[in-house]
Amino acid sequence: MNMASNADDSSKPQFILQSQISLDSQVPQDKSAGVPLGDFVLQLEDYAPTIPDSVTGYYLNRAGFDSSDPRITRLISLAAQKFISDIANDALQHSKMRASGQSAKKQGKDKKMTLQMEDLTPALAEYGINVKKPIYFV
Amino acid sequence: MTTENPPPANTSNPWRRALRTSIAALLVEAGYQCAENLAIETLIEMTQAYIWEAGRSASSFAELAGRTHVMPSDVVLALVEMGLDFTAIPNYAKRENKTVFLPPAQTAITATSKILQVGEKKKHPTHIPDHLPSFPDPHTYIKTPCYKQPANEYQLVREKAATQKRDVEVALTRFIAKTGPTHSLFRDDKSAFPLIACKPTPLPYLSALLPMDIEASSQDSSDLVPNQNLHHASNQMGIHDIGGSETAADSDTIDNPYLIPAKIAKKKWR
Repeated sequence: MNMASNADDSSKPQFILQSQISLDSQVPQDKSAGVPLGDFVLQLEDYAPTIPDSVTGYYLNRAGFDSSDPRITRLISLAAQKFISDIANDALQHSKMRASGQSAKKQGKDKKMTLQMEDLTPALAEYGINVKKPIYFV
Repeated sequence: MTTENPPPANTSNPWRRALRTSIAALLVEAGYQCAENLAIETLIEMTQAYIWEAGRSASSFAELAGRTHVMPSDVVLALVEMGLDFTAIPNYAKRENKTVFLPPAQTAITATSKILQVGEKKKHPTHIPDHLPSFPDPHTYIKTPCYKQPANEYQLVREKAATQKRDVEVALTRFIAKTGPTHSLFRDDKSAFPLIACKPTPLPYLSALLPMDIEASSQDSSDLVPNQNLHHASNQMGIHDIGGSETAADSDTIDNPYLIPAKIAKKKWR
């Protein structure tokens, strides 16, 4: 699908423009996208996301969002989960690449995968997020 | 999920702790077994910011459309705006290794113990509507003056004086009964209820008929010296003449005004 290819470079700064264009251009041809969305929202009625509803609801309330409908809360929970999962996957790829680069040194110790900042930082940089270690962090 | 360092003394914010757990679950799904504390905290911060931004822009979209309630389409628009590929969401939701943990239950609010009811609460006056809160316990606002009984109150003083007088009388009676001759009320037990012995005189009425020395002296002569008065008094007390004259001589030099015998004005007597 066209959108899927767009999503790959969704981290690029020009993404917002792209996605809007793609959304606009897709609406006539991809008519079916609207129907699954409604169905999908209905399916969320009895769906339990990993991030609890109450947690998402709390942060939404802090943003001034009235989340009386649990489906909307779950939709946002899912989106946040997806966001984190994508980053985690990218970081995993990075660490695998790094491990293959220095595979000569320690091959056997790679059993336990650890999320480290050196993997997370390039993964986040792909999404346009620059992380620096906060000086106050202990 | 384990972290390399022990997690820092976790924040008291329960939402943040729940978020930490869910992010850890997501990382396990992705294939990690461990995470640096710094990395996981970074992800927590980002998730918070993500949810916050999604909520903000979704409600902005709703307001732009002239609504106050957010519709799913607003959320979708906001998420797409934030760079989410929405077509991947349904598949992501149906993924195989989804982990769900029970969200921490809300702690039940402990019932506050009932306040001790003291007295009866006053009802509202007619001009106060019923829906307004009722009056507090009366003891909290009704003033009850609490005086200490003044020491110089009439009844108290009289009672005190009466008890004192009686005590003095009793003590004096006992003293005389102990030192002087006594009659006993009961024949067998001499010590119980001693009575002061009565001195029988041949003419008991005579003392009442004869004019008293003091009265006579105070009546007839205003130039009577005070030491004579003292002399009489000391004679009556049964002190020897020599001692009495000595005290009389002393009284001439006494300058203490409280020890000078009282002068009785003539006019008041007549």
